[in-house]
Amino acid sequence: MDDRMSIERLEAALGALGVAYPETPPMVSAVTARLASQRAADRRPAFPRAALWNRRRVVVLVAAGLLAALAIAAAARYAIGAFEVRVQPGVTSGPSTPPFEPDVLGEPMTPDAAVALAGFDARLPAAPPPDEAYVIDSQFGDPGLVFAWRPSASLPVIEGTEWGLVLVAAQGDTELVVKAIDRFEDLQELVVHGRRAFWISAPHVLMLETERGVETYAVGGNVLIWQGDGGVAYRLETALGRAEALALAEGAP
Amino acid sequence: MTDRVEGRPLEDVELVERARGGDIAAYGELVDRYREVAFRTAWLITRSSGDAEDAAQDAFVKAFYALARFRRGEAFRPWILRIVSNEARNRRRSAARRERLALRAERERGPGDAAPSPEAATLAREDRERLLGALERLSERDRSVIAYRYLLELSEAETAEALGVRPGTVKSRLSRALERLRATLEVPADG
Repeated sequence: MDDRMSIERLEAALGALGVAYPETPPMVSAVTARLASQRAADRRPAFPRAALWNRRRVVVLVAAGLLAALAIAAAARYAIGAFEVRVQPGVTSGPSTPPFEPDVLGEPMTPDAAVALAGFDARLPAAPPPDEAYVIDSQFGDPGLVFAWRPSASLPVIEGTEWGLVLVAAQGDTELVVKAIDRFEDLQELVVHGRRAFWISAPHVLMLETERGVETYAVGGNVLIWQGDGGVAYRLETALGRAEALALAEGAP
Repeated sequence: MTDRVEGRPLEDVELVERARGGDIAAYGELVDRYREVAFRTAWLITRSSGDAEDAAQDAFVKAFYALARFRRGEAFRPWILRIVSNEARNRRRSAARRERLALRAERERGPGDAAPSPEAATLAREDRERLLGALERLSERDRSVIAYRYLLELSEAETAEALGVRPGTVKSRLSRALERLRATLEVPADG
């Protein structure tokens, strides 16, 4: 192989590569057995005697349960603009999910181009200009903006990502980002620019509404969510502490 | 395994519709059809046969329950590969310290084996190992787009769906990845 080959030759060589894959396992019977087993379990009443209860009694109990669940859910949900935080005990004890990487959102663009595409302006924190920007196309609401900064001396890398700071901006109240945290204690209420803000410093799960559906990510960095002007809310992810994150947010004009 | 119409294997779209209606056997047909590419995709990410099998199997199970969200008219293969990729990445992260198998070229064929393709025959084994070694030294982002396009032979559109990026991104990302691969080939492996 020549030391300096053309891209075309490189593509041809890649196409001719034979990778020694392990033998593919049969898999079909295992998958279908799991599905059949799950179906059987779903059909089985959780409490066999409950199947004998009269229907009216079951309806009343289900209605009461729903009301109780709604009451708990209402108490455990917090929202700022398009960002919602839910308290879901045990949510972070499940299998890990990929960290939030802005580049899954498509082609990076300049901040100006992203703002023009999204159709609303975002106030950036007091930091150097972002290195990359992206537009999130949501299935339901307005598009969101993502700005990402590469790590630097003042912006330490967010563990598990290649970024030093990530800012998501969204206009309106249509749910774009849902964050699920394990405990009430993981959420602190703060004030930024005189308005309500949230600080989350524990690992949590982020669900992002995109045009392809909901994407789920694990977030290990600290997160500050606040309401800005013009109906735009912000979510900042950083490895910095609360005071530094607040300074960045307060520094946004 | 599943009904066939006049001996014709059912199209993916028909199998998906049946599976959406709860037909597990129809879904099994889809699993059989895509298990190899699913397993290989997962293996390229995890480099562990066990993890790759678990990831592919879990992905097929999750995909079955997510069929209601599968958009009619879209291709099943890239959709399932995206789910497989996510499952495989989760597993790789949880087994981050485990040693992973390196990419290796297929062994030389014996006298009774099928003849290699003309393209493969022109690429000497040491060149293949060198190319695979260079691939290993790329970032995961570069390696995955090259692997999806050239090792798994997905189309650009399928690669975009499997990676969860826009189609235009694949072209630019691939171009940059190939440039970096070429540059990496020029540097000795221990350099």
